[in-house]
Amino acid sequence: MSQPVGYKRSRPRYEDVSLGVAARSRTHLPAAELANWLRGVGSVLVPASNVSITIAAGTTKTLRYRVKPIGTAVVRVWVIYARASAVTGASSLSVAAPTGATLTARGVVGTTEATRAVTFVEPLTAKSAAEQEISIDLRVVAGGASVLVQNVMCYEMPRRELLRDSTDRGIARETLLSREPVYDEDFVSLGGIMDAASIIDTRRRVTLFARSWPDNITDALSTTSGAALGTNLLTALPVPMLARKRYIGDVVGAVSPRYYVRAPVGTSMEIRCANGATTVDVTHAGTGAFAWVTSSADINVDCELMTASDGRQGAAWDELIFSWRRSVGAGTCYLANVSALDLTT
Amino acid sequence: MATSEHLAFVAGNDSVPGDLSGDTSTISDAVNNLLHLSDSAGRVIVCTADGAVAYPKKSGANTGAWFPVFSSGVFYPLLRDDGSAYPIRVRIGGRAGSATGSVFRIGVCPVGTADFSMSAAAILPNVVQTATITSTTPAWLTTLLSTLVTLTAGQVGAALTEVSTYDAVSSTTPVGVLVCPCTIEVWTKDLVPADDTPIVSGVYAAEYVGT
Repeated sequence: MSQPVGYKRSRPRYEDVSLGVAARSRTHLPAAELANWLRGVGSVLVPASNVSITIAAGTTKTLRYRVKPIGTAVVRVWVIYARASAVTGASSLSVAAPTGATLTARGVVGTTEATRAVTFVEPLTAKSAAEQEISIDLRVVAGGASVLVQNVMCYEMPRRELLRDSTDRGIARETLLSREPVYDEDFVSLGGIMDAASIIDTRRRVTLFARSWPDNITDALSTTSGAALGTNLLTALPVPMLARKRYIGDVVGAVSPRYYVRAPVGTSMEIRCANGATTVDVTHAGTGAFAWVTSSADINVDCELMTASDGRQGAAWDELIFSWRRSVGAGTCYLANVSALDLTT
Repeated sequence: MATSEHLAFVAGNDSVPGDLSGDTSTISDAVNNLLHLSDSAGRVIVCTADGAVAYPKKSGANTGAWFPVFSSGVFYPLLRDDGSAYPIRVRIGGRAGSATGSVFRIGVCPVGTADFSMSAAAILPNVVQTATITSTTPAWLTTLLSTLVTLTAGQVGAALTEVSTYDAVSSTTPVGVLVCPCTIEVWTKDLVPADDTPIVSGVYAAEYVGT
């Protein structure tokens, strides 16, 4: 039996589901194919985001991101857009996943006038749906020209075929062919379709925004300002947000902010995520090391209006504004990542 | 287009159909839920909002022609049942090079087609353009002529290609998957050819099934 993931979605027809009409393969088969497509198509873990760091020859910079994958992917792809400060071939960028010492790719970066993508494929050693840190090391070879890394994106490769297990939840398509009996069992027949159709977590939006700086006190964003929250911004422009529509009647969706920060012992910082009149603040007491900080609460943003041409409610953009300040002590506060995640289940 | 009957997920649908496996309403809700999950499966492809950071044009690009300032890198858009890509909701932040004005374009382009699509005299369906921007202060631009860019089934079909991946953890046996490699591109053009400083400071692109 096989559980293939189609390259495009299928579409079971409502008109085939009618009272008094026998259930038919032409309804069930596209439904199973759609369920497999949903599970296997892959998420964007890090939407392409500005980095704008210049890495000197012989230097390694590490970017860290916070994600909560769906849990079916086995390969990640990192796309790093970069350019060298000298002519073609004068430098190269080495990319590695810190968790896999052997996973090293190298791409020659172009001239000062050409920015090009360096793609790094990272096979995974385990499927995981846990909220976790993912990171990437960027190293410019010794003796080369410095490299400006402009933006980074990370997504999951689509699967070709799912497994019939509790992680992949692939549905065997042969069990839905014409004249096959109906089974109420896992991963086959109608039982598989009903199971897949009951899991709203099947295709979360995963990450709506992720901005990272290298995880060191030289390159990370820093502040000693104690100015009121709302004035010292983490991004100069507000960040567009539109959550997925979940249940009937929903007009908002929850977004979970995450921060990777550092402050000295005895120094505390406050970070604010604001959306119109709603603010969610979090305080971090310094430990002298970088650490992930979970927001004290989620924040609601507009969810998609499925009848609107572009999904926006009232043709308006909902936006998040992130700001921060030093609230206690005299040390310098650092921030190396700000993210907005979809953790809804 | 949105395909689910209720345009939302129906809660309470039993995951174990048991003897009700042929019940019309149960199957109908299951189909609705699968369709809505697919309709709302759009992913955020690009989200960057650093107003103080410039994505500079090529140096010397002062001819008044269209020039690239931002590319997302290759990604694989979700494809609808008719073979077209999920439309992409887009937004550009930036500022003009001078008060005389600059214009901006954002588009979704199959790999290898960006030069043609982004610099064509006409504005193609996979590209949208701003009106003339004269403000020299970075901001989200409000004059995009549309907030959606689309790829037709024909454009997708011409770009479909098989790429290698793995289908199991720690696998050493590559498999092929069919994808449509694309990039999100932002290009600018100065209305004053000698002016070389329009800046793109924010880019947003997210898939949306459309109406």
